[in-house]
Amino acid sequence: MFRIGLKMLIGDRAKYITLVSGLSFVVLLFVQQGSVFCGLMVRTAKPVEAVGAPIWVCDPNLQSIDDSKPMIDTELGRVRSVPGVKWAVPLFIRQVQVRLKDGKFQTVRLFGLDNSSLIGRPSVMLEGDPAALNAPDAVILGKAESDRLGINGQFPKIGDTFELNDRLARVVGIADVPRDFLSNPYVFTTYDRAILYAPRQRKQLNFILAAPQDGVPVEQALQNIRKTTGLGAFSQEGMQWLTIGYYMKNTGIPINIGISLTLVFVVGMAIAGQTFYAFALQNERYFGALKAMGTRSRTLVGMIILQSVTVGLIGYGIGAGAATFIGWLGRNGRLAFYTPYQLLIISFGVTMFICLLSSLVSIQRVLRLEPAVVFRG
Amino acid sequence: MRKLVSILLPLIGIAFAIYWVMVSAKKPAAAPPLNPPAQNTYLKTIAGAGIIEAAGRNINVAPPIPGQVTQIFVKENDVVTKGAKLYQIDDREQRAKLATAEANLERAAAAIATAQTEILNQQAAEASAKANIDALKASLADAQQILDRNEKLAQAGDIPNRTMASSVAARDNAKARVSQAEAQLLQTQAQMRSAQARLLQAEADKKVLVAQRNELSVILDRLTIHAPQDGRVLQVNIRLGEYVSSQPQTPPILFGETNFLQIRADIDEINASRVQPGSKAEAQLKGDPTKKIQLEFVRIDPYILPKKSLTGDNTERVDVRVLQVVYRFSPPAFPVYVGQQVDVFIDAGS
Repeated sequence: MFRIGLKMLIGDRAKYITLVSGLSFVVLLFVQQGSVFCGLMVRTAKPVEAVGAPIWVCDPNLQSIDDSKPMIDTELGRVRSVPGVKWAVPLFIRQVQVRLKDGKFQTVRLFGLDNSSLIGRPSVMLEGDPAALNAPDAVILGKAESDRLGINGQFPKIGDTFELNDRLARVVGIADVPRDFLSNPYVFTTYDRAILYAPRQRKQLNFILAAPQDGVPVEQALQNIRKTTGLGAFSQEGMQWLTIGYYMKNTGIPINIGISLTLVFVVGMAIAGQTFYAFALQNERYFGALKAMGTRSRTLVGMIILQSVTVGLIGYGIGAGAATFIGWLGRNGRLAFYTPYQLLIISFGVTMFICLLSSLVSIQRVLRLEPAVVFRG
Repeated sequence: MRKLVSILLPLIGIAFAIYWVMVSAKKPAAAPPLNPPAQNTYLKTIAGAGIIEAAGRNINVAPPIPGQVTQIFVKENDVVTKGAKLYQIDDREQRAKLATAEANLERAAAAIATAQTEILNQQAAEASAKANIDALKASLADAQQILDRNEKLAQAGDIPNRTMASSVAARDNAKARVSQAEAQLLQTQAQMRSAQARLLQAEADKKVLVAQRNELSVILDRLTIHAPQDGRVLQVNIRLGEYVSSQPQTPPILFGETNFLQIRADIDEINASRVQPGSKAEAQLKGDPTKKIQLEFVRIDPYILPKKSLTGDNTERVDVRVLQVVYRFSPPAFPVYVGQQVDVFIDAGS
C-alpha cells in the first residue's frame, strides 16, 4: 500500500520535482539564513577565540570584547594574589588607527600581549616567528582583512612598515586569524608597545588573562576572583557569550534574520501546502479508487504522511547540502557562515513540521472523499 | 533512475551538511605561552611588582654646588671605597679666591712682623730713654753737689756771687734735662703700647684671613665629589664639560652597595593589611619566571605612597597608592641587575 503511495508521488514527474525543489529551496533558505545569523553572532566573539585563555578578568561593567573599560595597573597584582589563580598576565585590546604609507588611514584591532610569555598570541603562524615580537617596533599581522593595510589591496609582507600613533611598526610575521564582526585587520604586539601605539589614556590595562591552578575548577577560580577583587571574571565561553549577548541585544541582526526566517517559514508553508493540495486534488481519483476498494482511511492518511515525509526528507537533504555548500564555497572569503549542529536539527524539525502541516489539507480532503468520485467525470 | 537520484542526492546533501558542521565546529587550540608566565608558588599569596635596588637604596650623588664637570674619576661598575673621588666640578674661581686669600694672609703675617719689630724698636728706645735719665740724674746730682759746695764757699766769701749764680743755673739746667728725659720715656712707653695694640690687631686680622682661607678651601674641597660609602658605581650620567645643577633630573652618578641587593615590592593598598612582617617571599625575574630568588624580609615602609607608573609617562595622574615592602637577597648564580623589574609573591600564610 505504501509502495503505491510512493509510486503515486514519484509517478508524476513534474509535480514531484516541483514539490522536492520547492521544499529544498525552503530548507536551503532556512539553513542559509540561520547559518548567516550564527556566523555573524559567532564572529562578534571571534577576538576572544583568537586570543584564547581560560579566564578573562575585566571591569565588572564590561559589555563586550569590543568594549574598553581599562583598570588600574595594580589590579594585575590583586588578581595574582587571588587563591586558585595560577598565573595572570595583562592583555590590551583596542581599535586604533593605522596610517598607511600612501597616507590613508585604516582602523585595526590592536592586541597587546604580555611581553615575555606572549600569552594570547595567534596559534597558527603563516610566516615568521612569534618570538620576533621581541625586536623593536615589531608587530604580527593577522592575514584576514590585512589586504586593507597594503597598498592597492595587496597583502602586506614581512618587513613592511606603517605608522601607529606616530610610531613606526614593522611587520615581522603573518598569522592565521579569524575574521570578526567589525572586520578590521588584527595587529599583535607586546603590551608595552601596544600602550605606545594607542592614543594616550589614563588607564591602560583593559583585560587580564589568567589560568586556574591545577586541580581548581575554572568556575571556582572565577568566583574567587569576583569575590576578592570585585572585578568581572569570565571563562572563555562566558566572554564569548557576553559579547554575543551584547550584539544580540544591541543590533538589528536578530530581528532582521528573524523576519527572514519567518518569511522563509511562511513561504515554505505556502509552497508546500499549495503543491500538496494540488497533488492531492490530482490524485483524488486514485485515493477514491483505493477507498472504493476498501482501503481504510487510516492507511490512506498513513500514505499521505509517508509521501510528505519522504518529500520532506529528500528536500531537507538537498536543501541542507546546498546551503552548507554555499558556506563551503565562501569559507575563505568574507562570508559570515557558521552552521552549528543545532541548526541542522532545528531546520529538520521545521521541515517536518511544514510537511505535516501542509499535508493536513490533503488528509482532510481524503477523509471526506466519497468513493463515488471515481465514477464521476 | 529517478528513484536512485531521489535517494542519493539527499544522502549526499546530508553527508555534506554533517561534514560542514564538523569542519566549522573545529576550534583552534590556544597557543602555549612562549615563555612561562610568572606563577604563584605559595598556597595563599600577595603579588606585587618589584624593582631591584642596591642595599640601602640607590644613592644619587649630586654636587653641593652647581657647575661644569672638569674631571670624572670613575666609570660604571667601578667598586670604590668610602671617600674615593668620583668627579670634579670646575674649581678655577674657587682656586683664584683661595690664592687671593693666601696672599692676604701673607700680608697679614708681614704686618705682624712689622708690629713686632716696632715693639722691639720701642723697647730699645725705652731702654735708651731710661739710660739717658740715669745719666742726666747723675749730672743733676753732680750739679747739686757743686752748688752745695759753692754755697758754703759763698757764705765764707771765698767765691764771687757770679760763680754762685752759674752753679745754680747749671743745677736747674740739669733738673730740666732730667724732666725732659722723663717725658721722653713716657712718650716712648706710650708708643710701645700703641705698637703692641697694632700687633694684636694684625694678629686678629690674620686669624680672620686664616678662617676665610679655610672656608674657601672647604668650598674648593666640596667641588670634588667623593663616594659617601663603599659601593659600586651603577650609572655615570655626566660627561666632561657638562653643567650639573645641584638638583639634577637624572643622577650624575648613581651609586650603591651591591654585595647585597634589595627588592622594593609595590603592593596595592587594598592588600596592604594582609602583608605580615617577616613573611617569606619569592621574586621571579620579569620575562623569565624560571629564575627565582628567595627573599629575606627587611621591613615594611610605614608610609603608603602613590604608585609610580611603570609606563614612564610622568604626566600620568596617580590613582592608586601602594605599600612598599623591602626584601633583601645576596646576588644569585644568574645575573641580576639593579633596576631590574621582578614579580614578587609574598606568602600570605595558610
